[in-house]
Amino acid sequence: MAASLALGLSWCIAKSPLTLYDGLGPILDARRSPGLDSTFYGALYSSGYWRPLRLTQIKAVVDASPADPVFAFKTIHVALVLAMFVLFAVNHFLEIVTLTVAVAALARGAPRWWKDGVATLLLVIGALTIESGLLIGVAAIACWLVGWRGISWRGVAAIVVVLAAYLWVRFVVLEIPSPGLDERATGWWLARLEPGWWLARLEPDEIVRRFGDNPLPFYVYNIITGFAGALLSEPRSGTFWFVGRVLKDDVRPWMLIQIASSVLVTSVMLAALLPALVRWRRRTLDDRDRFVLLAFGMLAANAALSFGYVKDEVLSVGVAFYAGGAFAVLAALGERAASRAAGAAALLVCTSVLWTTRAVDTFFSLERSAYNVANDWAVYSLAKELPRDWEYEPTRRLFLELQRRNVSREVPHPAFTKERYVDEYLELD
Amino acid sequence: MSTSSSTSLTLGIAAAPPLALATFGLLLAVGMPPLPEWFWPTPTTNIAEAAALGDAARVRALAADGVPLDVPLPLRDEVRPNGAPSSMTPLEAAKWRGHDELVQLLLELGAKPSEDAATAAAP
Repeated sequence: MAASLALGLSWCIAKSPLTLYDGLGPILDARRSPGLDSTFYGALYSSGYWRPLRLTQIKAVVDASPADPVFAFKTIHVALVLAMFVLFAVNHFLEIVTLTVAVAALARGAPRWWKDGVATLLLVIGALTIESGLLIGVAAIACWLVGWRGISWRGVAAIVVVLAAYLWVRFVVLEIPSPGLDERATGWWLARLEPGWWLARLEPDEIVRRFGDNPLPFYVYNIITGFAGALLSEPRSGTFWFVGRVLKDDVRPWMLIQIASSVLVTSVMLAALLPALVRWRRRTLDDRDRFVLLAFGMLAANAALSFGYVKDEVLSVGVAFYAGGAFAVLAALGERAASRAAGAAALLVCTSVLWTTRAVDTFFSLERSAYNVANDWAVYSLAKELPRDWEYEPTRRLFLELQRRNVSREVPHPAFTKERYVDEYLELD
Repeated sequence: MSTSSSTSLTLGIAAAPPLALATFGLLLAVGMPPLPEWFWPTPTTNIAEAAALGDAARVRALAADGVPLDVPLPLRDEVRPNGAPSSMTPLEAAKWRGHDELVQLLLELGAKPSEDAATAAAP
């Protein structure tokens, strides 16, 4: 079932254009760079972020497929989606999710000498790709703590050393701090602005004005709302959209579906958490307890690491483990339903219908997103946005080729798709 | 109905939605007709219709294929703005619908503003 879903989503990804706004700049930088080594060393000394392998990977893909980088990037995305679903059940966050789940799968299996080295290597790759890659190490430690010993204590010790070395090199040797408050906008409560409750976003200068002297409340808010949002589908990206809609008396059915589905599953998981903690202290955990503990632990770690800003992709590692915990408790619920517990059966049916609706949403969202991104490509002006790249012949040529390929992907206008029949029940934008 | 069969029925109902969606995903991926075309229909709009809809990607793709930019083309009823003529150039269609960004794009692509187009801007 998981493989079928992965194939269907991969088909949609293959039909879609390449993301423009997060993707174009690094691709053009890759074309400008003379080689992999200079890309890597150049990215070692960036400010705010330390992601040398991210740019190096992009450079490798662009160099390997000069004629059609779109196809190469699509192939990688599809491979990651398939790997993710095959291991357990888009973009560098997806890569980190895949690597983290791979490490958890290694830890869950039988101990092997090579697993320690592989897990450590995956951590190094992930940590040098994006900051969320540190969660690969956290996952290895968490798996060891709940009793999965496929990675030995030596491997876990090596991972702790790598994590410490990362922090030392980044913050002490290279002195690359965390991103500043002025890096990006973020969601914030429901600040009241005319004409209603609709300022749900703080722009960077406003964040600096409010929290420049003491950013701690801002960071705490981001951690709490990230964690709560993953568990309850509210708030989203730091903003209480659903509450805002209730206050405006403008609630749409898909919002209710999202909240209800999350509350149902999270409630069942919370009910399983306390007994699991008790059994953890008594060292009598079973595998389902481990999934539940890992779900909450990894989600908390992911939220903590995302203190700078909240958005859905940043929490994708924690959410992948949440899915694992949900699977464990729902499987237990299925067994109770099989032993004639009517309440459990009813809960299972509701959960199934609601979450399948959300999965349908993913297909339609990909279709809508493909249309939006194709149009972004069509009206994007490299001359205005990145004049330096427009004036440099190789990057201008690459951009024009990317633009040509991305606008000609035959993406349907929403007026001709089936979304008009379902948009009340799905979140399409 | 016995309790055990009602339990089986309930579990079957619970399993049906994800199974149906997984089947949809599989059939989509293997290209089983008519599913791909049903879900992801190939665009058939002409360049004026695309302009009326604000579909900049389609406009740019058709222009790159050499489709003329200044020829009036028929607009299907479901695409045509209220009160608009049945045939329009892409520029007229974009102006009629107020797609300023698309108007700019069409001009950059070489569409020639005409008096008719200027008239069309004020429906």
